[in-house]
Amino acid sequence: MKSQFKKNAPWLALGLLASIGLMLAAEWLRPQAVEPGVDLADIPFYQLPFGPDAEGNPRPFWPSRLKTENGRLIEPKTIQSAAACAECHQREFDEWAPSLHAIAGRDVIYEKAVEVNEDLHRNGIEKARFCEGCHAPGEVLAGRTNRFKSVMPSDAETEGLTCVMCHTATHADPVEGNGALTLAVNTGVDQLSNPMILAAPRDHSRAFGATQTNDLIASADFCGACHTENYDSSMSKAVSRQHVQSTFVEWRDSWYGRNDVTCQDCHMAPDPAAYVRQIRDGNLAKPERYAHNFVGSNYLMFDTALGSNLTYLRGGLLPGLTETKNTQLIERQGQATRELLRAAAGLELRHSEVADGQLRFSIAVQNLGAGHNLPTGVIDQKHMWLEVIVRDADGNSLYHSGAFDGVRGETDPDAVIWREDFRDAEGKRIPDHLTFITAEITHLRPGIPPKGEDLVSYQAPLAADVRGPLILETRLWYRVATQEFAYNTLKIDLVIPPFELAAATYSLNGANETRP
Amino acid sequence: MTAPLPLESTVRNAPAAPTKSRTSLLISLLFAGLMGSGLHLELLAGRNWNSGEIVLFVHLCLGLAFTVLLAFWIDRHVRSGLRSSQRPAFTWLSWLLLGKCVLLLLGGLLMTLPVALYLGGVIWFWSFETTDLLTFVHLWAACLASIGLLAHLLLRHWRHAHTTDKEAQA
Amino acid sequence: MSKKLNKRGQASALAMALLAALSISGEVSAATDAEVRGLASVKQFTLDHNARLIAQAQLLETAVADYAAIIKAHKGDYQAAWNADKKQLARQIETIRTLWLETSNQYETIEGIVAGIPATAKYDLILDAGNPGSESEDVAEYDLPLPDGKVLKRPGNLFHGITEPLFWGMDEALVKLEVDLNGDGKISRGEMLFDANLGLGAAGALTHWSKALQADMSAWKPNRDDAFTSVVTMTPTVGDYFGEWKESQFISEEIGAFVAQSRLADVLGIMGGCKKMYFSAISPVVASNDAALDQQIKNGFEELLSLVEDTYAREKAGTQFGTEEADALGNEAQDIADRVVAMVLQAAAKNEVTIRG
Repeated sequence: MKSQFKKNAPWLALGLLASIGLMLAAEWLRPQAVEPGVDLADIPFYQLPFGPDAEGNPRPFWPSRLKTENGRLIEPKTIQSAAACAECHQREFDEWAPSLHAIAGRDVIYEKAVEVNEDLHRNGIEKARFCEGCHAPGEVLAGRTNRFKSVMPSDAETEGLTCVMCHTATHADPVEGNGALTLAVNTGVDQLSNPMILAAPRDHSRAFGATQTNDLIASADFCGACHTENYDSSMSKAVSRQHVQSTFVEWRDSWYGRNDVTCQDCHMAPDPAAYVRQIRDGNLAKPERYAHNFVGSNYLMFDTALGSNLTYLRGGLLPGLTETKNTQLIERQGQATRELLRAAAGLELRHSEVADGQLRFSIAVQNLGAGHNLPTGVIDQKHMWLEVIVRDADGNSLYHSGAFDGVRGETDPDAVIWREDFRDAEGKRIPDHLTFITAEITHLRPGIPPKGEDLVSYQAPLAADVRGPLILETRLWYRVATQEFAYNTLKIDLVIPPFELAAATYSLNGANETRP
Repeated sequence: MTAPLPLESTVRNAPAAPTKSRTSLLISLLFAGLMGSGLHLELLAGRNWNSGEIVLFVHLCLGLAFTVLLAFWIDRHVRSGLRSSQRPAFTWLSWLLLGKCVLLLLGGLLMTLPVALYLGGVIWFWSFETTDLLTFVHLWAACLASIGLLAHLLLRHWRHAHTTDKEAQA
Repeated sequence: MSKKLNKRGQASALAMALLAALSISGEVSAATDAEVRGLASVKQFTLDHNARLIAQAQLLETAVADYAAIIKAHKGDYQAAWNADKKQLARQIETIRTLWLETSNQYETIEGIVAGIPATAKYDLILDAGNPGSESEDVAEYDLPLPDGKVLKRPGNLFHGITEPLFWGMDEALVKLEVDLNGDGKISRGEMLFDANLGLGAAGALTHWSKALQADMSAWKPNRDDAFTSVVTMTPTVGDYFGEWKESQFISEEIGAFVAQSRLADVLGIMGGCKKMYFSAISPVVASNDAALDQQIKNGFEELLSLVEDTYAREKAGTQFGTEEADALGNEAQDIADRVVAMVLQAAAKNEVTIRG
């Protein structure tokens, strides 16, 4: 045999054996790996007022259906803040930071609503796990949604739907909803130091982007786990299941669901409105990339005209942001939000006639661009209404429905409104989102399905001497909260401005003008 | 590279100088250590990220030491090897091995560039696609280099006497 | 020889054991004395805040009585009263709201203790957390007599169930007349005259039940469980007060703020009380088996007090806090308070203390 081989072979073998031996020794000597996470029994004074499940297992996060993969609560200090992720993933952080997902658990209107609900019952804080499971999963999973908070706080729990809350998901049930997500937040994170992540980023992405997580978070099922909400006796006075939010099912049963145009396609497109227009034009190509902006419909949380009050409403600054940068990011996202809203709806005059001294006309309110009902979500607060004004040739108003009182922040109670109502056990409407005493959900008018329309008919008396041509002005308005809710929860007279989704003017002689 | 091999090299190499020999043996040792730790990172690190982190650290240290040693040693080895190699196939395989080593080390060094920058206070890293490419190159260059090294050590670079006679007659 | 040594050894071992036992019993005795003194301060602190609650409730009752007197002077005609006494009624409602907030804050401070002591738990339902009789659980067991002779059976808790919606016009059924309270030319939500009869009855009941609470509270003999409960329920209210201060920095007149005054003085007072309770009644217990944890908790209290003191001193010196800074200070205070409470609860668990409330 060749002398070089003879000489080197022992060294090669030694090196190989030594490295294998070292690794085996390290593996053998390594202290027994403790199961990551915290045992329920190790959280002092943790309240479980809802008892175990049917199999007798404890339900630490109930009434939220949130779970961890290994069944244990999370150790707060092991959960990375988004600010730490931002050290490398700055673009993603900048997209996420102004989003509603980032402030889901700290937005003041939400926080106050939860507090009011909590005050309704002695175990109200534990009941609030139902809300926080989707709005502040880190807080729930750490065991801090509890009357006695014996777990240390962390930045990550204040960040609503922070990075790890999505990037460790392994299972979702979009039909059950109520936060029916399983997160490998204890086991699917790497805990590597930054230099080591940079040296082997593939391992980092393996940990956070395990194949099942990447597939899941790209699917509508994932979104559905929280964007489906049902009330039952655990968190409300409902005696039968009440469907409060059905966004996933609305999408699944629609043209969009059948054509695989997912939530992420529109709400995570770099330019969501442009993507919606692309879909409306029949081009179903996927976006060039998925941004972490989660553009939605809450225009109020991007209304920079509110100045520092906006910072207050958004629950202050997220870790890792300055006031200036916060404002810049919010402005950019606000523009995208308003454009997306304007891409959603349309109005069309279908019929008009004057007969027997009455003007009759029908307006089709169309859902042109939303892959779910319009409006969608929990629509006891978010609601939509139609304003119509009929004018004579001199501009005098002959008929007005759906007027908005900008001083009091009130909408014409006789307007055509798309909204659901929470009702208490006596059937009385609850205007301020008191989930815990809600017994039934009714609809003034259900949302308009994707690519569907709702035909609204009006009849107005017309004097014989009216001078034509008659002009019909129509506006479709959207508002993120009712005035009762804003006042009762915040006790400030902040008038929540409505947003014009679509408008059209028709001359009942034929010449029409529409926008957008 | 294609120059005729000198006839005086038809005999086996003279024994290498002790220092040179020790360096090559150390390189072999490091190479094997890197291969072992690399295989762990490739196949087993996912089981436990933190033990993987220690192995990764060891792998990086060994890799840097290997690079430095090889850089100092390879020049003399190539020169003397070229003089002593009598078989074009061996020469070509050796050049190929060197190429694989360069690819392997370059890939590895490029992968550690973000770490070096991070330690210097600058946060920068390759795109996801580039990282994938570098990982692919590093892994497969390592596998090929291992085979190449064994071949390099096992294959003879001298001609048998009868082959030399036949060639001389021809 | 070896027997002698053994005997000597036994004797010295016995002496050592006796000495050790003495020193241990000495420590126990010291801890107990300190704890007893501390428990007395817990009770005193609670009674002090109960007394403040009564004082505020009486002020509120007087203010509502003044409001009711104006309405009564116009024979219950709210429109006539408004036409005649716009400014006085508007000022009176503003005063009532401010006093209600003060009264509610005083109760929130001792709420955890009131709810946690079996003898006083019913007052928590009556004052703050109970349901009306139409509910099946946690009903506030009292009836509310009104000045006009009516009696409301099991009407629900006084603070959030009756007076808050009444004074802020949150329940339209209780609004007697919508008026332009702030004189800005528009009538916004919450600008109204409320039912004086119900208001006076409810304000009187607040005073009555606050006094009844004090009577039962005076008979209370606090124990170790109560001391821990007090600190873990009172300390988080510091975050709320600081939060109110923080919000008052954000909310400007443009959206009609109603929280305008600094809460830092309250934070300082309550935090001082919590610190005193911890240092005197709880620290000896915690330190006996985990000195490091005790020190961490003490450091937390010191840190929180120093943050509040510095901020308050700067505010008094005229510093106008900007959004970013107020937010950061508020979050920092909340974070420290949360950490302190978490640690005290962990210490409670270690010492097998029961936390009620």
